[in-house]
Amino acid sequence: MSERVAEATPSEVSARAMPADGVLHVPLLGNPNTGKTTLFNALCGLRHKTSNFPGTTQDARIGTLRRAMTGDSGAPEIHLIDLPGIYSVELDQSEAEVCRNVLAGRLSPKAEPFGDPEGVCVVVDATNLPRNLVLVGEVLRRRLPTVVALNMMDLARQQGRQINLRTLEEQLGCRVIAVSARSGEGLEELTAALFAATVPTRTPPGVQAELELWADRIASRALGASAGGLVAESVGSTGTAALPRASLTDRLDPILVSPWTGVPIFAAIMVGLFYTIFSVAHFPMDWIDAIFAWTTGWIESHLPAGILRDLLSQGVVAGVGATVIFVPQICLLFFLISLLEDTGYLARAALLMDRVLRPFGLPGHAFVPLLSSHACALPGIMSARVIPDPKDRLATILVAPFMTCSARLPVYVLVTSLLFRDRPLMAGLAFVGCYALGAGAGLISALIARRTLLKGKSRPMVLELPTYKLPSLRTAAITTFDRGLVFLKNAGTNILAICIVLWWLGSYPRVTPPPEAEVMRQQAVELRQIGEAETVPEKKTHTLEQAGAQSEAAERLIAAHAREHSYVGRLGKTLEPVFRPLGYDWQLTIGVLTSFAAREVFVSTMAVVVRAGDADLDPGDAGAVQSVQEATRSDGVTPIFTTATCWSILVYFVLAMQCLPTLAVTAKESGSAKWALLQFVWMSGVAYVAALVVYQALRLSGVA
Amino acid sequence: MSDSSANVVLNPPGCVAEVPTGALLALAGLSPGEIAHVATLGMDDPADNALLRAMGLRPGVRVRVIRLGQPSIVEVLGAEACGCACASRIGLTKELAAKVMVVRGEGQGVGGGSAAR
Amino acid sequence: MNVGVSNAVLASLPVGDWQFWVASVIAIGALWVVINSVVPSDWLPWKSKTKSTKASLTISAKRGEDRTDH
Repeated sequence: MSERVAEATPSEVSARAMPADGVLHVPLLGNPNTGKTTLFNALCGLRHKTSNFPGTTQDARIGTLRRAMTGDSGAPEIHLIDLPGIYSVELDQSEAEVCRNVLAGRLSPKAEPFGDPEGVCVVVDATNLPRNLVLVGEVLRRRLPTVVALNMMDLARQQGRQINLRTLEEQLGCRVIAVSARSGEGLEELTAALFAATVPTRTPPGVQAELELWADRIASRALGASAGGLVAESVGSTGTAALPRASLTDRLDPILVSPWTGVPIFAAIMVGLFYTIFSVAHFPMDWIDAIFAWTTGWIESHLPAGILRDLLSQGVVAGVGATVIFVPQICLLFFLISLLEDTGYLARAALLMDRVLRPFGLPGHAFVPLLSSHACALPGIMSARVIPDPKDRLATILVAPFMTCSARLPVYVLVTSLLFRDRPLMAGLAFVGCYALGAGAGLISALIARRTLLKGKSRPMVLELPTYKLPSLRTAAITTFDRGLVFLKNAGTNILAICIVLWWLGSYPRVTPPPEAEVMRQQAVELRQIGEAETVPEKKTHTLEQAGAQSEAAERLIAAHAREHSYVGRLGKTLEPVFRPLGYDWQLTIGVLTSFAAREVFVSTMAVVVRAGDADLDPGDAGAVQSVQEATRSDGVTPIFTTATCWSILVYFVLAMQCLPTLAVTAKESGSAKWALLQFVWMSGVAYVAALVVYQALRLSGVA
Repeated sequence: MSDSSANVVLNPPGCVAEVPTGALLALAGLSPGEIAHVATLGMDDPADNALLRAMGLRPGVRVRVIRLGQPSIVEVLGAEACGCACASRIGLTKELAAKVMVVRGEGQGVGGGSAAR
Repeated sequence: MNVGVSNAVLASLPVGDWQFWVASVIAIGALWVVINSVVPSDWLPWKSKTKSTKASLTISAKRGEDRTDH
């Protein structure tokens, strides 16, 4: 056995001298499902920031730990770097590579200075010592000052395990602190130990097979095994401890994982999840709408009229509002998914869904991101981090926007209510068809991607199924806060930016109002005068209403005319030939272009362009929507929304990439904007061709 | 196999990667509830073997079958008579389960000889 | 493009209004944000593309770091 006892060499001692920025950098490693995240949260709370490892798609959380006793000498602060969970540092996977490189000082998160870590903390699951100790051994080999955090002590005690800490410390050659991240036990001791960490006094074997045996031996000693027996009282005759909860898990797992029973349960849980999100998020969304409407009103009445005021109310407020309105849905989504994941259910669901997704080159883990994308692709893409294999993750990110998101719904409603005016059943079926088309296109695109660009073997589907436990509200809250912040920063800047750009392009160049508008205004003035002078009450009201309507119509005409001659309008007219084969005229082209900021903008844009209403049109405003539906093309006769055009628009919106914030998140999560570009080109191409085929096929078969 | 350090407890007997003698069969060929020793991992890619090993499915450990088919679930009971009583649950596809070769039985160090590898 | 049209366009941009210039600068800034976040870095001459990792001195970084020989 090549284990030896070693004293710290002089060079190792000097390596522990104060680092340049006065802060100790300590990576946090551990097997998956050891409560590493919970421990990180318990130690650092909200004092952390999210960065990423340059050159990889791994995110890095860096938390701050302050020394308890300020009187002690040495660094006052530790930067704890949360590394991905791995079973072994020596594996040939990207997560393991990141860990190797960080331990060797070859890789640091973006926000941190370069260099070797000053210490390491390994989180170990007390209920599964032998396997966890292998990772500990691999870390000890690297001879960094190491501390082992023996987590889940509460669980171990429940299971009747007694672990001799002193034996562990002696055998491993480093400090071992018993903690329970959930209850907070041992955290202070752990913090103190991290500040006082020393180089291990023993070196584990270098050969992997020997290391495994080494780990087994130490585990058995620490658990008090002697002559093959067990200290725990609940030992069965077979020599294995009868874990009290084992039988429940044994019975539950096959049910959750078998297709016949598992799929209905899964469907029920997912429906429940999304129903909760949509119904609960409704309230804050309404408040947000109200607040922003109020803000716009305040701006318009309190600030002097002028360009900057317009920029503020139509560009900035609209832009910020368009971002913030997503926040309730996104936070709820992350919160509930975090809870669900904590219980252990998601691992079973990933196993179940694997057989559905694998034919398309995607792993079972991809179902959470793909499902979430049905609410909004942004959090869906952000949650693709759960997918272990980088190629799988990338494929999922690329196709996630194909899933029908909630922003497409107003367009679906507009078009299907036109196509199936009095046939709600058909409209419903069309709706379902849209969802199916999106999901189908996404899955097939994933398959194509995996066969061409992202060629490579899929990682084998082998997954640890953690014990069921009650989810931690605290972890869920911190995760939600984290991800919500990332969303706001990312999407916020992008949506705001493009709203400002579109505002500018839509406001200039200025044109003089058309003469008809002036005529209508005059008429409105005259009607008003008549109305005021009128004595008969009903006639008076009627005339005043007419005056009001005429005045509004004049305003709408002016707005539509302005929009038509603005840069956006000119762009629409210029690009009209591109979209004519799909059945769109210049008005629809403008609608399609401006939807690039946010899809739901389509209805209100169309309303402005066809003079049916204002830019802040509520898609539920039936009257204006009807006007949009009945609006005509330039010839004044043909409706914009003919049957064939309707189908074409529907198909286009199902498949097209029309969301700049999604592109930005793709660029960020995939590590390179070229993937965002690919996503845009591919989805736009697919949408264009599909809409073209649909339109031309319908026309050829005689549909108007 | 003793250590150089004087005050260390000697190895408890049986705590080595012993696989009892017996016929090799695939994990997929067992029945639910059976306990067996993992003998070899037969994945095409050695990196996959390394992954399974790192997750706990390595020669010498005992496993108990919870579910067979697609997907399969096994409980990893830990190395022979280590008294570790560590139980972790692993889910895997049936294709993988067909490549994990095991030997039936849960007995302690059968015949005293370290067997097939 | 004849001069008459461009004159007309310029005339319709309120170049005399200081607010117009402020708003336009802001809009250009917004455009820059948009381009930055979506266009690949290779096409953007101003983006730093260096990866901040040290060069690996071993062919495969696997076994190089057992620091017993510090």
